[in-house]
Amino acid sequence: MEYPTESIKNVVESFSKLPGIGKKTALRLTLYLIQRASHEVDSLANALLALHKNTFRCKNCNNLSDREICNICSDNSRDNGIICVVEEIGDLLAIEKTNTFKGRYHVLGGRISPLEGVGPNQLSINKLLERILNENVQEVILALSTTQEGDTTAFYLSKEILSVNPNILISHIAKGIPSGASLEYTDELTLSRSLIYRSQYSVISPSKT
Amino acid sequence: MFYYSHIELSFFRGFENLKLELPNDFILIYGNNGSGKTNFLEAINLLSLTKSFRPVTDKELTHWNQDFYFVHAEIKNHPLLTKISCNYLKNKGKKIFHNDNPIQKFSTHIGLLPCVSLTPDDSDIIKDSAKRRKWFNLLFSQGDKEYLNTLQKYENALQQRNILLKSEKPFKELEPWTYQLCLYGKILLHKRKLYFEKLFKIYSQIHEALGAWDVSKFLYAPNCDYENINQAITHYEKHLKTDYLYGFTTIGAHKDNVQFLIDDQPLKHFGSQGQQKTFIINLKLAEYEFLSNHQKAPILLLDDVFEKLDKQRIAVIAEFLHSHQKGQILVTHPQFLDFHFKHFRLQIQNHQIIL
Repeated sequence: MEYPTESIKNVVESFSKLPGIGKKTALRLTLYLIQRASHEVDSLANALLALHKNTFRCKNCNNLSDREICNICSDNSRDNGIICVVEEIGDLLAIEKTNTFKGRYHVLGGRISPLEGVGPNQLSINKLLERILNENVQEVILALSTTQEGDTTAFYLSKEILSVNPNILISHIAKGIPSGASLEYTDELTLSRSLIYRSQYSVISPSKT
Repeated sequence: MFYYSHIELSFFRGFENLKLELPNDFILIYGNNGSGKTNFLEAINLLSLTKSFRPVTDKELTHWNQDFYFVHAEIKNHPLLTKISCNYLKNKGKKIFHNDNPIQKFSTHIGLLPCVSLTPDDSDIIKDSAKRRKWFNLLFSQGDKEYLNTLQKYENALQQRNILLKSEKPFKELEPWTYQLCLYGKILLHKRKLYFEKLFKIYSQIHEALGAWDVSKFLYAPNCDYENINQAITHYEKHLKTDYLYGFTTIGAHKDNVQFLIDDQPLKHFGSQGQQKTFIINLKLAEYEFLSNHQKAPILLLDDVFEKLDKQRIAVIAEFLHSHQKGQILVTHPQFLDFHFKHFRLQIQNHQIIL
């Protein structure tokens, strides 16, 4: 497609590289920006520049942060003895939103999948093992996706973790029926798994963190 | 039992536009060579199993000069489905609709509308072990959803492991995938043993009922047989060197096989043309019974089966089909055939039905 000016073309092409945005949406966004006051566009541009300049990966847990060590790692009220391992930062944010976990995190940065070219070396595994050795960790919670690749990552991690500390407790988040779902429409695999890993029913709801 | 009550084909193979009502009956489709008999069965196979029974691409299934096909059917007596469509558009691919809603994964479709087809190409499974594996995997997948799920997981783990072997990654990285191969392989092994035993039992009965004059059988030959997972893992470890050398996994359930024997000799070398043909017919009839026991009764498609068979043999098989019929059966033949039981006839000419 022909664009009226070279700068419009550049912006449209940059936008359309973003996930979920095609050429049409990109053009719509660009035309919208042209119609806005120039200070509004400036603030957007500055925010984008600052995003990359001022965002770091936490040296400890690989979380996003505006300092070297992220807010969660530097929060003294959190429990040091328990680490929750997640694949991506989005997973961390999702768990944080539940407000039920008060330990530390470790972000792997993906999961093992040779088909996509991701092996253990591409993930932040050595750092995790280092932390387990140095931080007096008693439990590692694996909060990985329930795909085959997630299972593989869990298998690999647990072997590695046990090789540096054989006495540590390794757990995996429960796999089962989502709340509010009806059994009738749950797939067979999930249903059979939640039957195998059923838990004792208690009248007072458990408040363990 | 479910049956296809109405079929619509648009630009599918030689059919430009065909609308047809079908009874839940024994249906004979007859017409000259190239009139579209096989193509019609292909459409039904496509609706049932998402594919033709021939190894063709979807582009090849379209009418010449067209970029799309549309196959639609109405179904009666099915617990879930009343309508099924399979549409293909060039560059967009194939889509399957259940009651007008598109489905995400084709694998969820397998087994919903079970189907057994017998075509002249089926004798290939006697010669080709890869085709044989495809054959029994599809059969067991239709009868058992968990079999298909496990098979898909096994194959994914296998692919991942092979990539690691090719790039000569250390054993430590292979281990989780090896574990999964053993885990899913064990389930496959167990199910295959069970199902082959059942299938063989049915086969023997049919073989005898249809006047056997030889002793033919099939033997499931697992590539590695084991009792528990640890035993399997040691087995894989032993073969690690070869695996690294070849750059792929050389043992496991993906190498399983089944041997067809006649008087204890391999059928492909020692069976005559007639014996091979009889074997395949009886095997397919056994499949039909097997799926009926496991699932709902399948649709049976018989393409040119009576070709080259003598009158007496045709009568014996037709009689068997009639007495064991559970659902819709569609049979093609170049000429008109007269069966002594009630059946429905369709004459087809130049991809048109003659009424």
